[in-house]
Amino acid sequence: MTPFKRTGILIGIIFAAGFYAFLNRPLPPPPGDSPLIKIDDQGQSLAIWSGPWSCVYDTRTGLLWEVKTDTEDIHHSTWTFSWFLSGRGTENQGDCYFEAKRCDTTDLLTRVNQKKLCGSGDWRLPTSAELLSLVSQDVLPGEALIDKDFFPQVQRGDYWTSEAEQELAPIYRHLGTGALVVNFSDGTANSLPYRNAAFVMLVSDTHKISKK
Amino acid sequence: MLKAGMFKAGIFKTGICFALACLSAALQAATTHHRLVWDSDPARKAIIGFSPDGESIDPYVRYGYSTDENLWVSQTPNYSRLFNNGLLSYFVRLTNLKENAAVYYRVCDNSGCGERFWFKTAPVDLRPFVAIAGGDSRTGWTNRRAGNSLIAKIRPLFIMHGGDFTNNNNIAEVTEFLEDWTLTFSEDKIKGIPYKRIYPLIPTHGNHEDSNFKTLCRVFGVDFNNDGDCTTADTYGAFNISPLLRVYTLNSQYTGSGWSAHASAMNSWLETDLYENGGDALWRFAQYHKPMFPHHAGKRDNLHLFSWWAKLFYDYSMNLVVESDTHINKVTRAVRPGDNTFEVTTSGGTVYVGEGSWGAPARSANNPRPWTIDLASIQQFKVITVSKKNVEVRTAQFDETASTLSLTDRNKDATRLPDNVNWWSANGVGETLILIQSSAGRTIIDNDINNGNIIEVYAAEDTYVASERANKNFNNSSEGLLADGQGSIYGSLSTLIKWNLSSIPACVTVTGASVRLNITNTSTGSYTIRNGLNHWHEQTATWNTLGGAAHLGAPLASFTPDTTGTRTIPFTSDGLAAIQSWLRGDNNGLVITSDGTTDGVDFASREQGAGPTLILEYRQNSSCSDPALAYKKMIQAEDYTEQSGVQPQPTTDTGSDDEQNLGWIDTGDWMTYSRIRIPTSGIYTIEYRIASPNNGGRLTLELNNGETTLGNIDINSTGGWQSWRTLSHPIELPAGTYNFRLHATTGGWNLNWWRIVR
Repeated sequence: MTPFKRTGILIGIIFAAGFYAFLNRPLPPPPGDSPLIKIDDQGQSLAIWSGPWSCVYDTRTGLLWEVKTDTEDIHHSTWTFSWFLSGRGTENQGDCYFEAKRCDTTDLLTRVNQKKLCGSGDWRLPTSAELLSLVSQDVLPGEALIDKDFFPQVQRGDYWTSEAEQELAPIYRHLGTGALVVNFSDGTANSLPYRNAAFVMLVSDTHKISKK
Repeated sequence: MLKAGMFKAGIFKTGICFALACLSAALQAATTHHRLVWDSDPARKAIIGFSPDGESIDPYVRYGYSTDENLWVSQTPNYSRLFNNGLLSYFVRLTNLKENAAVYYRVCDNSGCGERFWFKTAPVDLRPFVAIAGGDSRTGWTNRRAGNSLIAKIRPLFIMHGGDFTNNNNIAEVTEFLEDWTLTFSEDKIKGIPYKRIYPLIPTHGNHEDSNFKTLCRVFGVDFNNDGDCTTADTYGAFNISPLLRVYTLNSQYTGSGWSAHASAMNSWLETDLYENGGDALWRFAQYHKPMFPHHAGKRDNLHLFSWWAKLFYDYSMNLVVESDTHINKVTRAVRPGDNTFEVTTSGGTVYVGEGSWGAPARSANNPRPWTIDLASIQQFKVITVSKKNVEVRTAQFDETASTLSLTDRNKDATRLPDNVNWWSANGVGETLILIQSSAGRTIIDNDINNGNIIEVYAAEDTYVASERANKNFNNSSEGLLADGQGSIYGSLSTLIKWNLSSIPACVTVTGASVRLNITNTSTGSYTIRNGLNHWHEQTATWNTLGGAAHLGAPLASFTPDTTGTRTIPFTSDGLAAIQSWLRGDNNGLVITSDGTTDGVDFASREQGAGPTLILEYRQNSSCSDPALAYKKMIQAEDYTEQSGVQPQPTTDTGSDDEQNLGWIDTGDWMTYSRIRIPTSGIYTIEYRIASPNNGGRLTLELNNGETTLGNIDINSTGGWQSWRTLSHPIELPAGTYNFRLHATTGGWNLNWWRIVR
């Protein structure tokens, strides 16, 4: 085989490989494929492959969700909070690093609303039904039961809901009542004492879709 | 090993150095990050560790048994260790120390001698002591530092750390840990000289040390196997603190690929040591990092640890195990191994505590086990008092409220603990878990929890009322609960608290009771806790609906709330009787009033958290096990057989299903209730549900139309015609069937029901 032929074959192989790669390139999902929309910290919608994003808007429920982070800001995913709302519950029995004292749900709500995360100032604790609407079984083994493409930092653990005055399991019953949590490792709702340290993912009702 | 020549050279250098130090206070040894470690025979040995602060040339330690430094001797480091190729530490292994002795020392180098430290060696007899055990200080530095500062206040003999000292196990974080560790030092002045009391540490390998299995020997200088080398085997060992206690430190991280031989060696050593040496001490404690059964659902059960150790612990009477890793707090019952789980035993087993939250962010305590006593998401370590008689385990939360134990306090009493520590209270146990031993040396919990007859109940309703805002309801006030003698705006303030006692079994006798209040604003005056007489709800109670002072029943306890924080107030015998009546259904809770002081007091309400808690001790009555002896019969007042002069009317009373009471009861009126069977002879309590705006009433209980008088009660104002109160008196009745008559010997009251109780 002449050098000329070898070069031609080599070019042919490279071309064929490139053509194959082009045909099999990853394509972004078609618009509207996911019911979730990424929202930036100013409240602007982002394309599904874009980032960074601070919130997620769920078109199914009309709810805007806080997205947890791993940046040790107020949204850090492993901060925990005791349940304390409107003077009810137990103050300062969780651990975050943005408060001089220990942390409770009101601490996070105050900060996030002051910040007007994603343009919203009415952040609140979600109901159990709202949190359960995010539970997804379409996840890899060992991962939190939620769409990790949109909520990458959600933990396999308990997330507080707004539902208080709940009857507790016998071992906690001496503490009176508690609040419901939704657990993203098994996708169930259970009651835990207010003094318990659990994760929080806030929700807002008033988001209007606008695109950058 | 220190050579004689080195020793002489050390003495020589010490002399020069000491003289220089006397001449110039500015000369200081360039050392930092001081630490003291135990890895064997702590009555006679200790490891003094430190690092150069910049450049420290020829560092050494001078030490002695008094503050007279002329009597001290010097010792150069036995070895140095380099951690992660950057953090250099020197270690001086002191040997042949005097037992139970104060050892004073300074770290010196060719630029002088540094701060003065002192510590105590362990005793060699059965005298008691205090130890601290916790773990997971890897993050949450604010809480870690608060915990460290609490150690300086408690003054333990030594500290057990369950691992995960830092998050990334790098030089910067370990340096920061060592810097924070200086907060554990107590500031003492001995013969006018400032000293720092330094506490020996027994370190454990945690999973956040997995990047370097030589962390313990390179940072803390331990040489558990006493081979002179720093190896990955220096992560487990055991030694007697004194004849009272042998401490086992184990490595729960020998689980990954490549560590099986190490695990086998460790477990083989453990069984041999338990067999040969476990019985040398009265008590046996173990510490390791990962719990066998984490109490946080996000962590998997470590069944390999269970298979390695649970049976050994039971067979060789391991008394107390301190686990870490999970960032929560737990206390278990005494347990023995079952089929891949534990079983509760009351005849002797092992108690497991801990789960590590010495700074690391608290996690959800959401996985209680059948053998769990209580669990919580708190920052804590255990404070353990060890004595021949028992072991007391307390859980200290890292509040700043704790008082500081002075050196004099500790010298007077080796087991004294500071006042005002925020001790966590385990349900059914209280603040102190007491461990004793079975004849086989296994652990039995000496609290009454084994019989289940201590229970804590959180307030179901609470509020306060004010005489100058007599129609205002203060439920869920941002101020919590208030009491005061006479305030300028609100007048007299009273706190009301009520508990739901439905979780208490039927037919019990209350043998002890106390109320735990969280005082948020103190008073120097005295306050009385009284039985509440009138019915109320927190959302509607006002000074007027209660009838003001008419609500005040018998005194149950008194106290002076002169410090903030939790305060547990025991009830008197009258208090126990009142709670007994609460259990019978006459539960109007308690009221807290000033004894005259106008220095008001504030308490946390249930809505605010850490609200009022009722702690009850009770015993099951024998009559409950024999239903024939238990008796309770409620009779609605309007269910009379015959009557004279009375009429039914709608009632606002609660607690029974009927909607009517009897009214218009004038002097001489009566009601009969026929053919009521009393099954057994005995003492019975007759209770009457009464409402009256008048004083001076009288009710007489009679048999057979007045042939026999069984007893009577005087009736005073309850606050109104629908302000209900239960009054009672005892009578003795032979078994039989009776025709009772309730006779208004002086009328002017209403009756809703009456009840015969045994």
